[in-house]
Amino acid sequence: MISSHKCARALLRGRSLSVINRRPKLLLFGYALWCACLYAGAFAQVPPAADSVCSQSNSFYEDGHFKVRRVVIQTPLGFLDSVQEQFAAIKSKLPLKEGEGFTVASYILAQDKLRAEYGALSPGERVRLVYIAPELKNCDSTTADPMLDAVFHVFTTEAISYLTSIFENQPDKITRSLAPGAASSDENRILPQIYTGYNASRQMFLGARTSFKSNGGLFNKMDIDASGSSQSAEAEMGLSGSRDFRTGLISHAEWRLGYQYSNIPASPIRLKEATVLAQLFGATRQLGGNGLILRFGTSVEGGNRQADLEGASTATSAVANARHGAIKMYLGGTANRGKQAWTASYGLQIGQAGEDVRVDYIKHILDSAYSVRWLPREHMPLRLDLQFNAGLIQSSSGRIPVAERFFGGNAQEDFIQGSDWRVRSSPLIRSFPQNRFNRVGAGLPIGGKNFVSANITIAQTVWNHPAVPDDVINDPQIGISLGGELSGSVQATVLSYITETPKFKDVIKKLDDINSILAQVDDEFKAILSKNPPQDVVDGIEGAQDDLDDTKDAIVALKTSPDMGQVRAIVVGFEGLSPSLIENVTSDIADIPADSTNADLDAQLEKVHSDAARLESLRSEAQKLYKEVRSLGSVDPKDIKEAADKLGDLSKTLDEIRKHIPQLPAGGPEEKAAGLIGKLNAFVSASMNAVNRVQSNMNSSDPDGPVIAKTNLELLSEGYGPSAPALLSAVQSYIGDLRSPLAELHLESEWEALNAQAGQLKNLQAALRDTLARVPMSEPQKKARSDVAYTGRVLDVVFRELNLIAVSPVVMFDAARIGPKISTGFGNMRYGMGGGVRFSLVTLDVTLGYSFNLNRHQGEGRGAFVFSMDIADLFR
Amino acid sequence: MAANSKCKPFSVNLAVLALNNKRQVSFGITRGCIDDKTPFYLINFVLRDKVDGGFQDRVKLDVRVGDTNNPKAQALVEQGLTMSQIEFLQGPITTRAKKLPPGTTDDPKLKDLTEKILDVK
Repeated sequence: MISSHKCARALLRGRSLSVINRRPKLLLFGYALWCACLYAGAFAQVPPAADSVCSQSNSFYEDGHFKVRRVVIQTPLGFLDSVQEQFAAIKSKLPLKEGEGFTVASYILAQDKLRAEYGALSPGERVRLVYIAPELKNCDSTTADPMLDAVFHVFTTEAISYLTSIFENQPDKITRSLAPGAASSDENRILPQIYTGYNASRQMFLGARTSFKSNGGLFNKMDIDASGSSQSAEAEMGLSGSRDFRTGLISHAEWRLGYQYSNIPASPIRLKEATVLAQLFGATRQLGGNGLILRFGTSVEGGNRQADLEGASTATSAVANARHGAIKMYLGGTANRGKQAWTASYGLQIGQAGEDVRVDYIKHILDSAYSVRWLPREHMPLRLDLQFNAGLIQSSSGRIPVAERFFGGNAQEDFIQGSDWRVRSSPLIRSFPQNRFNRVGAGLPIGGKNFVSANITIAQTVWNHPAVPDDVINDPQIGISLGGELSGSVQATVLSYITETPKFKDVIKKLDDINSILAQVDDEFKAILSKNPPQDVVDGIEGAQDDLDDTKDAIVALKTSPDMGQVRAIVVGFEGLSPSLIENVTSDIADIPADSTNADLDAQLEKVHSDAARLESLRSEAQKLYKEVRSLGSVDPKDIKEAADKLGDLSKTLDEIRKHIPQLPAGGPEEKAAGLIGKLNAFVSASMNAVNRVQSNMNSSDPDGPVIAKTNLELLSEGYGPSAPALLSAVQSYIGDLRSPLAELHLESEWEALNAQAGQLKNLQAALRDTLARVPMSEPQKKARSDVAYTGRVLDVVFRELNLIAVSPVVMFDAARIGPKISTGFGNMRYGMGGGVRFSLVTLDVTLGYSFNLNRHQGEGRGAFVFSMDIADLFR
Repeated sequence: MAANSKCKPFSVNLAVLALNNKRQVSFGITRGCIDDKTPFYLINFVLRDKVDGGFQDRVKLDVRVGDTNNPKAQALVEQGLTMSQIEFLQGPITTRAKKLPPGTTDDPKLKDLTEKILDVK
């Protein structure tokens, strides 16, 4: 077997392979070998000698003095070097050690240690989810020292972020800004990458790129990229800076100064460009419910454009060599709905092609694309990508540099280099090599003044290895726990959005008033202490001082980190557990004794007590404001009473289901049915627990009771997508799945009884949903649901669609035309059609294929190889 | 857990970076199995603050939930934290955590507060 570990290390650590560049490069055998290594590596885990799950309870193995043979951590990307290094570091910290005695405590604590280690956010991540499933395997009591293996299955969202960040193309960063971000910090480090590639125009080329990032400053990033071959050269350098905005319409702004040079053949001619540029780009926040984000940018450029026409004749409007000056602007947008995405951009270039400052030509670009994924089977998506581009150059002077005309082929030119947003500005027809779709007449390979192109790509996954194994996805505890975590996230997000409301600012203002009084009391304390009061007064003041300082600190902290919990802690407290901080202060002040022997001191103490009374009064006002703003997260019990009243029927139905579930032993021929029954039981139990929580909270004195009741009603009837399904949906689904297994066991009547109850359940669930849909929600509640719904969609992709490795055949069809035609036989629509294969590593897609030139002209090739490398934006 | 179902161990953790990018909060639950019928819960809270450009752990705390609290811990697993419990985390627990020296792993008062989270209303 290939030593996949060494293979992957050699290929990945040195980054000796071409990674994404703006102009895709054709690689041949490197990636095929790389993908083979990854495939081998994914399965080249140390194979267990006797892969048996230990069937006794954990305490049995502790009582039996078993020793730990191996501690194994398994994760989908265990073959990657950095992940292996992380294993070694984490393993040494675990309380469960190889060669030592097994104990239940060390086993549980090791599991929890892994949760903590893998659960920590990496720089740039905003959310991370971790799931760990431990198991004991290969228990062997036949040896003198009985042994077992402790295996921890670890699934995190971190590995996906890490892998995609290696291959991340700058243009993809903004489109994935809502997804978990890059894993590793690269500040103050030069990060070199060497790459190589091939295409028919450039031949084999070698390049290197490096970037340097620093913290702070107007320009905090420098990029250098250079590549060359016997036929071509490209170089690019840029200084850039950026800023993200927390509020307002604009979410991101970026500025860049750069220099660019290229010398690329466009057979039979050669195009050369040298450009100095100053650029500004930006993106808005998400607008509306369909994820619409607008992007805009402008670029001011100067330099020169040259075309080595090598004997080709020219039309009078084509300028071979010219000074270049241009102002470019673009506006574009993306919108997403479920698994569909739309993008569209318009670009405008006002250009100069001479020594004089004047407008020689105006270029218009339209770039649009649509993509959609279907999931006919889990982890086997069908992807459709459509693209339409068009361009037009207008010129009254007739002076258009050849290098600015439209040249097509299997690599597209970007309208503005350096922007995170791609606006494709040349026709894409994959049956022509780069720049070779360029003839507008006999002997006129000078590009066009207008073009249209349309492209279709279809890919269907036929082989895959899921990123998350089926037994994890199908573990009912996953769905139930995720539902719980997501529900908690909704509540946390509601509280967070409440702090952004105008009413919350009123609360902060009131706390500022309170802080002023506290400052006065603080001064009064100092004045009293300076007069050497009696010891009991000193003790009383010192006792109050700590609480006073805590309260002042908490109020000040709210300026930079506003949160409802601190406000509640300051002015309300937690009944039976913790009084409010202000109550602590006033209570301490009340305990400070008076000093009847010193009238002056007594008067000062009287002042302190008077201030304490004012504090208490202000606290009451603040408490009222807190309750008003907190009510934005509350639920009126009348709004959910109708749903809650249905729970009696629901409870009876669940009881009936439980009664009719056959009791089957684990193992043997009934194993499949027993497994499904175990899952059904888990969801029935969770449903009954949720019903009980609704009923107890509807009648509870807890002010949050109705919110808790509604949360549980939502868990029962709505859920958060397939990965955290509605509890009642899961019960119905497992009942449906039991039909065949129970029929095989001749238990049809039991299934019929279950199915009848499932029908009842369906009706009750629909009624609950209808009622919940009518419950009014405040703005913070709506925003929170929207945010968590996104998390649910991400989890849906991770659990049902994401593959570690996948192979998909690809079909391509292109139609393109450049014009105007100058001689007969040119300017017609040209067609290309071909096929290939796509290798996918998590979200990195590498497509290799060949496209045939269907209406080939004399002197043109039969077709061209196709290579592309993209990040699939699954987490929209 | 249902009375007749076998204890199945797992851990789930959700970590979030606050909107101001200066504080990370992580809350997780581990269920271990002492034997097939006896689950054991660990509730965990980690607070990290941004100091001099980097995030530093202020406190990592593991709290064991006694067997008598199992239904409440099970509620945490199945429905998540309530708003009052989240406020308790943000309020008294964070206040206490911030007072402790960085790297503290054992503070009786903080342990007591974290155990009380199951009773917060």
